[in-house]
Amino acid sequence: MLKVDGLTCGYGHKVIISAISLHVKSGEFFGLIGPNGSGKTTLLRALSREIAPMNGAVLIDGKNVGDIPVRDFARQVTVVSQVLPEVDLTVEEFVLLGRLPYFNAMQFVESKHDMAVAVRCMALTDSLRFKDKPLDHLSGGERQLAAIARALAQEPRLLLLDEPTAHLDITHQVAVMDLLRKLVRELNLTVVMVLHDLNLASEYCDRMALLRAGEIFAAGTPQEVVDYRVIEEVYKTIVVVNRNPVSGKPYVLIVPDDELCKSRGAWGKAGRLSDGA
Amino acid sequence: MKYARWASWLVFLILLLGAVMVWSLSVGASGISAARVVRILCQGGSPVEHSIIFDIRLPRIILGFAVGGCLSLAGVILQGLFRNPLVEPYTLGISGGAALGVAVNIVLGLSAVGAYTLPVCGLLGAGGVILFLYVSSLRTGVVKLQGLLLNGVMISFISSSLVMLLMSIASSDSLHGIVFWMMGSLGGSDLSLVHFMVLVSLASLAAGYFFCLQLNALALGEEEARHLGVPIEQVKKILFVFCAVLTGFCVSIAGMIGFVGLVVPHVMRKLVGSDHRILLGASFLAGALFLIGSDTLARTIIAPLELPVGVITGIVGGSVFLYALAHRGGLSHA
Repeated sequence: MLKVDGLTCGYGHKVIISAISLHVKSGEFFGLIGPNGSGKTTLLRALSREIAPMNGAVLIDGKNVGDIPVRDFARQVTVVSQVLPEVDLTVEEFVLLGRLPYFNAMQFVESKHDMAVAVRCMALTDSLRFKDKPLDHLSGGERQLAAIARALAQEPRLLLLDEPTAHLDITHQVAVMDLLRKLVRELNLTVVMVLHDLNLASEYCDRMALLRAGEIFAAGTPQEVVDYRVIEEVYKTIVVVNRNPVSGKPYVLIVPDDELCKSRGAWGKAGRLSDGA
Repeated sequence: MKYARWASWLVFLILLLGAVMVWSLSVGASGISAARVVRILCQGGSPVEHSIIFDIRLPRIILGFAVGGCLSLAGVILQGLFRNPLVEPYTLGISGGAALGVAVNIVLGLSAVGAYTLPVCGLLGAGGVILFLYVSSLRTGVVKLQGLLLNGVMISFISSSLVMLLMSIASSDSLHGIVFWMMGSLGGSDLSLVHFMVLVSLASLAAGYFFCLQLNALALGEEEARHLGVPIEQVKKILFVFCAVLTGFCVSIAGMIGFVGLVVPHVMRKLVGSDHRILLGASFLAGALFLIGSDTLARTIIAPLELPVGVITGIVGGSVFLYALAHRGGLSHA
């Protein structure tokens, strides 16, 4: 569905990501991971047409995204940003703005259908219960749900998210990720998201791409990408990768420096922490 | 229900506007009671009363309606566009340009050629500034709104300095003319200009409504608006030129009437909410209301002398603004 073909882009003359190619299938939950400054967000911004490619192309169903009219694009692809804008709108008004790409030129009020879609999206994201609250009175988790509801109101096929779980506690992290997975399954949505948290990414993504310095270092299933050799190479940090006993997905454990010294002392110079205890 | 609330606001403002208009028609050097005004409007009256109402007071009211509405409309749109509650039509330097045009006209004595040259020169000055701002901020094809704002503020300074330069070398007659114009006045305008302004104002209100939803989306920020399918660069260019031209017309015809475009949108946003679908119409009506009311005060408060209307809008508008700031926990939230 989404194809990135030799994409090079950046800001001004500064190249941030170079010659990136990847393919996201329809209905896939795809994660972009990588260290700070590796170009994850830049890649996401290129996918959402926020920045134009210097070279290469982003294709949706074989069509170059730059050639799709703005309104049509907004009906297919939608973006959930990290922070919600500071405006005095209620959640319902905010979600209804998501219907904008479907308004006629002479239409000034929402139709019954628009209203119904907004209500359905709020119900789906469990944000119906606070629909009359102003946006700036919401908690972090509620804000994220409202933002996803607005994105869904655009009835997109591709949902792009930039760290939807940043600043959330684990309850809300899991709630948001579970919701997204449900959406992928029930609405056959395709999700591409930037994630910092390797464990969340590993747990929820069907496939993922690990970026380093603007290039794809590894791509594939969580089992392929979340490997201690790969992670250590990219993040320059000693880690232990183990498997979640419930889901069987790999997870990453960090190792503090003094623990590392202790264990080196105990195990001698050849001592090494490795995959699977 | 939201729409019912909007409708009642509009009805309320229209009724209030009607009342202020009748009040404005009835007060003045020769007082005519409000009831009498209504009767004259409906059935006609003596030739003298007819003349006072239709030839003297009504054109001023109509001009106040048009200019007040336009300034307020331009203010709402600019504040929405820049997402900055301190922006008003005069921030962009357009009024400075118009003032410079008018000052040049007066100093050179061009008004001897015809009364029309004054607004024409104002419009030329405003047009020059618009053109400069547009070209200078569009070099890369992308409008950088903050840059535009800074340019506008700088142009305001430069042109006001140039106007002061002209004033310092002008004869006392010209000086009086410039000062009087700069203080703003709704009186003494040519009737065809008044009619023209009304058409401009109503047309611009209608045109503004084509952008109300896009302005709503813009409140979320440029990126978010683009994600909602708003062709943002195009909208920014159109709205900027639209507001600039509107301001140019207002300033050229009625002089510098400050504060309408800043205060009215603020107060309306607090009262009716920040949805531009109601905000545009409500601000237009309230702007008209505010300016007609201020002008009526200006011409009656120390009658037979007349105060510049800008003095009233500044004092009343500023006081209302301060009051609202103190009692509403701040208006700054756009």
